[in-house]
Amino acid sequence: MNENSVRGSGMRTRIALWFLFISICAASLYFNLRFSYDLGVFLPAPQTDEQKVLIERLGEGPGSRFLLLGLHNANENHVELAIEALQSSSVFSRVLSSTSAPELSDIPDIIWRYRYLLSDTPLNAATINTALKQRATDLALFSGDEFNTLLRADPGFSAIDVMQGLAATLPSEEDWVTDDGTTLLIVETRTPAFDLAGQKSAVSAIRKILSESVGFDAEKIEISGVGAFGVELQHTIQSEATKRSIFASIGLALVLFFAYRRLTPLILAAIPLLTGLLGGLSIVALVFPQVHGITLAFGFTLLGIAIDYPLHLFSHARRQNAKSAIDSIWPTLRLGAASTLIAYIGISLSGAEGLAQLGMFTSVGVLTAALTTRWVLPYFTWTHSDTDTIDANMIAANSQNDTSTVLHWSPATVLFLIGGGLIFASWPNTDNPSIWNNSLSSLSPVPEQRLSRDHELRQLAGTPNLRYVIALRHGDLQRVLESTESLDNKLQTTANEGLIDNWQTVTRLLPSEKSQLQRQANLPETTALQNMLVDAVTDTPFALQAFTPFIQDVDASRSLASLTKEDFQKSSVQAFIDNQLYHTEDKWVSIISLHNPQDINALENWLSENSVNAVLVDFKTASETLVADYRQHTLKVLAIALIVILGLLLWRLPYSRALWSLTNVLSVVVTTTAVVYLLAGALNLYHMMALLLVAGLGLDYVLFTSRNEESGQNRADTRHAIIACAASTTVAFGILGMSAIPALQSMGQTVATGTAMSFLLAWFGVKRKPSVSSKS
Amino acid sequence: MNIRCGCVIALIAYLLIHSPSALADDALKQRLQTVSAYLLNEQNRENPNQGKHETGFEEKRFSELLSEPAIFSGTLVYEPATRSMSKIVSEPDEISMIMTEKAVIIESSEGKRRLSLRARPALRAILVGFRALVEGDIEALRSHFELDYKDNDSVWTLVLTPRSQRLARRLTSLVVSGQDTQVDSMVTTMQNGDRQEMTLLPVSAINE
Repeated sequence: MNENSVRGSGMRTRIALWFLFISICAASLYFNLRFSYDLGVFLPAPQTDEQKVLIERLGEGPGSRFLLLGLHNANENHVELAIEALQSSSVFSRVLSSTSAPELSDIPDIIWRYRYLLSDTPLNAATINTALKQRATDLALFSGDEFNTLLRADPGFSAIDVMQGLAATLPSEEDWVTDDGTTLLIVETRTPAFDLAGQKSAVSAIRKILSESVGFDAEKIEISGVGAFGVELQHTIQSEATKRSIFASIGLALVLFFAYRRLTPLILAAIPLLTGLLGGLSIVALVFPQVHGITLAFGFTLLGIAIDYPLHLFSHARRQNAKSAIDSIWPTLRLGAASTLIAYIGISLSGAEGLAQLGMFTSVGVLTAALTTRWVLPYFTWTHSDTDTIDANMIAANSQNDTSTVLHWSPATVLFLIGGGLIFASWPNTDNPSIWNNSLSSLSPVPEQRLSRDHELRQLAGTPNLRYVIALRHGDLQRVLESTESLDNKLQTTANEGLIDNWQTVTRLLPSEKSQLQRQANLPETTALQNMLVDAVTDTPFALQAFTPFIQDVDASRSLASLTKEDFQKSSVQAFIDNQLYHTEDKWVSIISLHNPQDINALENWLSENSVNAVLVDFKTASETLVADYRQHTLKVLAIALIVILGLLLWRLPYSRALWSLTNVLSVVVTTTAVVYLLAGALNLYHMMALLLVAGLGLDYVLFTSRNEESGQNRADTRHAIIACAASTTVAFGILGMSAIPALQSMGQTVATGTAMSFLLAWFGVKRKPSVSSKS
Repeated sequence: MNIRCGCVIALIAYLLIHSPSALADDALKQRLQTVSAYLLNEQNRENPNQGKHETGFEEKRFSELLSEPAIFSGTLVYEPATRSMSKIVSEPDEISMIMTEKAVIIESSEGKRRLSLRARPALRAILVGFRALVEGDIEALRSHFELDYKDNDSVWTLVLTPRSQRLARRLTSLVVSGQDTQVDSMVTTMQNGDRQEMTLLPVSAINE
């Protein structure tokens, strides 16, 4: 068996293995691939108790089921018709408007039945007499059946007291009309916000109902809220992925055709890329229960770096066979791919599930693409042809003047100084004292404009936007309720001292079982209550017999089973209960909402003295520290990644070349940071991730340009490859930079800028001098 | 809790009592204009954003809940600048209700509450009716109430009955009766049989 047949047999084996690999990946995707569009997975993993509460409430709060409808230029009749039509739909659990603000008569049945187990006011002749005197005054203003019914069964207005305890959480009674004449309605969907199919149906139902019953055009209806954002994001991602893919493909095709003047590279370049895509996606689908839409859209673009690998091969294979070409470039390509791999692994360790998916997808994808380029692609790649006359003149010229590479430091130094100078010059001119954006909304894939409009509408409705809460956690529900009750009682002192205006606890509606049993035991028996009433009505105008329902209801309360969280399901206060009490990570969390705390430090001190397991959460600080911690963590990971890359370079390259390469990369990162900062303002984490990619690309370019290639042909091939790589990357990321998704836009702009800089630095950072062999 | 707007109705009656007898539309219109003019006296007409009008009242409340009538006294106030009306009860205990264009604000020893009028069409209808009286707009008044005006020599009666089913489910009638330019009584009867009798004291215009 000769050498060629052995080589052919080995290649066939590799092709078979490659085919087997893509078949397994395809099968795995068929069975495992599930997409999600949950925005929460791109939020960082919380580290502290405060951050945990922040993330839990962002993702799971009952407000997440609210869809806010803005009706442009709607008159009163339109609004009434819209409310009626939406109320009649089974898709929504309720419809809220400024006219549907809850009245005291809308006391939920569950609160009405349990009112005597929810009230701390004892029932005796004195308390009943005080209540009756107040009711006698009320007669000057109130009358009618409803008032009489309420008074007969609940003269102390216990149920109303319970409802008024929630008053701060009830919607505003101001008209819900914005300055631009948009009337706001709120619908609560029956399906949770993360159920995108359900939310999509709800959004469609709104448009259909309003169009059919009110005659509202689609453009006159504005829909906002977590669910609507999810639906929009799904749509945007799908349309962006399609549109960007088409544009990027056309851009790439043009670049490749211009570079190689033939169609074959267009098809062949896709082999490592698609293999990388299959490999990366399969592993993510296998490890994570669902693959986020952004992981695919974003990851595939990040994987675009892998198209450089076949381009290096094609450029070098123009005048030699593919096997020789890959053998000659593999050490440099491997070093570049390994460095990129390290950087991408860094992304996966950044602390958010979405980015972990992204890092895993891209690192596995890059690895697979590099290996495919090395072991599979040469089999398909065309061999050089005498008719290939590309760059013939340049090659001829270079061949006659073989040179060696001299590394030139000054461009990197100049670029570094320019970048540093730009940052320094622009820093005092901005209102933001930091180059980093600590706003949590900067991480949201939803455009800032939509988020601020949503905030405006929520403020209009007076939906609670409470910055400070106290959170209590415990594994046992009753223990957490008892702790909440204890703190609830003590909080009155803070209100008396002026530390807070008001507060709400879940125990106003759901007391601990212990409290309920105690209150139940304190309820007077029927005969005793009758006697109390005889005394209580003596100096009031009320007739004793009017209060028979009161006696009957108190008697019924004495035998009620204790109230549970489940009893509130489908009631109008379920949202309040769910918001103030939830179960997560095997623990119950009770939230006490604070209104207008005046002195946070004093409140913190008070809390530490009065409760051991309660945490004061400042949502603003929690979100800022969350992002800042996230960035610190990422910077640490990146610093480690850089050290590893430096170690790798020092191991594989001469020291001077390794240091020169890293200096160039650092210069590009500093300058790109300055440019992006000037153009886009404070940098977010997506910019930072993009800078990581820029570093990877830049390193790839400088590694190739700094190769000491004595042959003019090889050098021409390398420069040709780098031009093709830089052009294709700049085009692909430039297209991404035009995306409507903020995260993609940030990354696209940063990478496109960084790639262009990397190319310029790599191009002008080396000089040639005649080689010894050439002289000889 | 639904609010029976006896005080609002009382205010309407208070305004109506100053209307001279008129059997025909034209006569009634003329009387309504007189009411308006009487309320917004000449000084206020020249500068309608100044001043307020107030009068005392006594009220008896009859209900099946009560073993004896409940008796209240206080003041009714109208402010042209804000077009708001108030019923301020001072005896036996203090409680007040202020009606603005969009809402009703109730204040007592138990606190303050604001109730939207958009959510309470019945109350709103009464308020619109009141404004119609102030403005002498009989058509606006008739959009909410049937008007039955009888004048027998110096003794007269005006009966207002709700036009809408919604209002009629709560309010049976409002009967204002008087003699010459004086009001003898105003009786509000609810559908559940509760009754409210209010006597107004002579009007006094108090300029700020």
